[in-house]
Amino acid sequence: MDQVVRIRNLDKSFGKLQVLKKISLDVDFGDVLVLCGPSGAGKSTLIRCINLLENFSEGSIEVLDKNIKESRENLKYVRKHTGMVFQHFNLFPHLTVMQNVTLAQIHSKKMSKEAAIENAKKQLCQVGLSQKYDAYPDQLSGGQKQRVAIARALAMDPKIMMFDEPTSALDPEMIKEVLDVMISLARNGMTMIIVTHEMGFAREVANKIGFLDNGELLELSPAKEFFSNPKSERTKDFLSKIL
Amino acid sequence: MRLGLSFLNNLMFLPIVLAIGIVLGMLIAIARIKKTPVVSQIMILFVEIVRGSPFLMIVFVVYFGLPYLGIKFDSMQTAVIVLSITATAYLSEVFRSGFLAIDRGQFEAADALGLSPFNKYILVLIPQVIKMTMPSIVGQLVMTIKDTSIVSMVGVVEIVRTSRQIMQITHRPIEAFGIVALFFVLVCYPLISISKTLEKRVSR
Amino acid sequence: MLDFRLIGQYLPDFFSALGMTLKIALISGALSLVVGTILGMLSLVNNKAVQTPIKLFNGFIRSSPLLVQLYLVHYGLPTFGILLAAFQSAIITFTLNTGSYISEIVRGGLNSIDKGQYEASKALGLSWFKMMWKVILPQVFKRILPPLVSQLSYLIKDTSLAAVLSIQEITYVSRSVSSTTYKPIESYGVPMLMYLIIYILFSLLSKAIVSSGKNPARVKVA
Repeated sequence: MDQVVRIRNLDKSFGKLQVLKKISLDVDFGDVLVLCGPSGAGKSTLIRCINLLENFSEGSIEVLDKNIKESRENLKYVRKHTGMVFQHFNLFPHLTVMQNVTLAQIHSKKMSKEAAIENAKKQLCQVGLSQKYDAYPDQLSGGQKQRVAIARALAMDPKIMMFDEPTSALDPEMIKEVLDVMISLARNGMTMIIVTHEMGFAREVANKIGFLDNGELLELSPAKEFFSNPKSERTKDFLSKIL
Repeated sequence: MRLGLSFLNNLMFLPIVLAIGIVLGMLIAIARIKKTPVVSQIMILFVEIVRGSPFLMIVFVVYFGLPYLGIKFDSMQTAVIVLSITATAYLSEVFRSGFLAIDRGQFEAADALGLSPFNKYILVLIPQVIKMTMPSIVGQLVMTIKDTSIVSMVGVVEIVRTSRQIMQITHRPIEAFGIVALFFVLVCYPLISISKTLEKRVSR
Repeated sequence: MLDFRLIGQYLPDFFSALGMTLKIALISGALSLVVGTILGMLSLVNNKAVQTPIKLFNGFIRSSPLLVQLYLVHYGLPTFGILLAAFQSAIITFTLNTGSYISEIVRGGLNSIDKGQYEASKALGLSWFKMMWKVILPQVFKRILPPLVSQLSYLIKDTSLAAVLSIQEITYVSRSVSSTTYKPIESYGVPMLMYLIIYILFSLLSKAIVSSGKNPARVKVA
């Protein structure tokens, strides 16, 4: 297994509107892939296809050598070994921070309660929230909620972490604390796919950058090249507006 | 056939019951929001007692209980009275929340323009309340239609009573009661749909 | 004034009638919660073959009087060979009736849950069952508690129709006591008081739930 994720010729439409057009890309172990592009380009949709939160009509996606549409077992396996962080956190409001992080460990990975709690403590400590085990989501700030969400996903020991615009719903002063967590994850070798508008962050941490516009993957290059030598006109146009 | 005609007896109640219900309900609602000293307390008592008691119970009290106190109502009168008080009580609550939902500014603007209380209500506030609470008014209409079935228990000649008689003769309960149910459904279901549509329009 | 001695004499009857009313309400209530939750959850299924009968059923229940439903069950079912005692007919009818209303409440509750909750659960690999049981339903029930309590309050009033089948609940007994004693104030007064006290208790319960909703009751899970 060389690649964590292999996407081939992915097509997806919402009704008559085609939002993904023949997308193919690979994500290798250790890659930190940032997907950028104008709103509505299909970046979120693409990342959500990887764990089949969105279905697609044509093409194939293999994660950890398993074709996600081939069988239920494959899909279950993939979801247990990938982590996803959402723009709007999606923490479970009726559970404490600790319960949020242990729930899936116990009920999806069938770990024992003690092991789950131990692991949860570790993850929460790493994201800087060891003081908040018994707090409820509505008692936390946006940045704290997102960090809990990251811990919740990390607790599953995923082989790849996917981030769908993780800082877009945050107030500016809280963006940094979340990006810092993501940076340290990347430095520790986690394979990551990140949909974001934070190009400064991308420059610091990404090793590959993909540019999507109108459902097409217009560019996929090593980070340095992407910024210094963008190939298509639309990419250049986009970069000039952002940077 | 007979069933169809006796259903008209059920529907016959509606105009007068609804008229009384809306008018009195509105008056009670206004009395309560103005918090007029004695009147509103009595009204609260009245409304809560009616809302807290089962319909059949109230029917029995009026039809069987009052005669011992010297007040005799025949079955038709009982029906009209009980249906009206019930509609009034529930509608007064509907209207009351309607008034509370209207922006304070409406009251203030009306006062600032020098409108008399009477005009204020008739011209400005009541129209808004009625528009806002239309879905609930239709809902109450449906409730009243269904409640007319219960007055059959004190001998009012309406569809349910007629169907019981038919059933006793023909021994075919499914047909008898099934058709009754059908009549009600044919009337109530469209009304409920209208109510839902109104609700969607109002919440815009 | 009030004939208290008379009241005392009939108090046992009133209380056993109260017991019957509560019995009917509790049994029907519990069963209708089950029925309602199942039907409500079925509304999530996108299959027309599932949706249509449910919609027809709900439409029928809401558009026809409870009394007629009672008759259909009690007098109608025997034509299919199912003989029912009055008590059973009452329970079945009330369960179906209240169950239908509860299913609408549950359906509303399920629809009000943010899609993101479903997505996060799926992304974490939770099975459908675990997702519903541990994440979705706890949130739904907290939200629908007030309308659920109201529905139960209506159920208590509905039980008075059981009198039509000669079941000895409060309304029936009040009439028989009144026709025996010729004293309507006492005969109807006590039962009315019982209904009103129950009604007030439900109102208070509802208010208590709503205010504790500001500091949401927490759920023990995992």
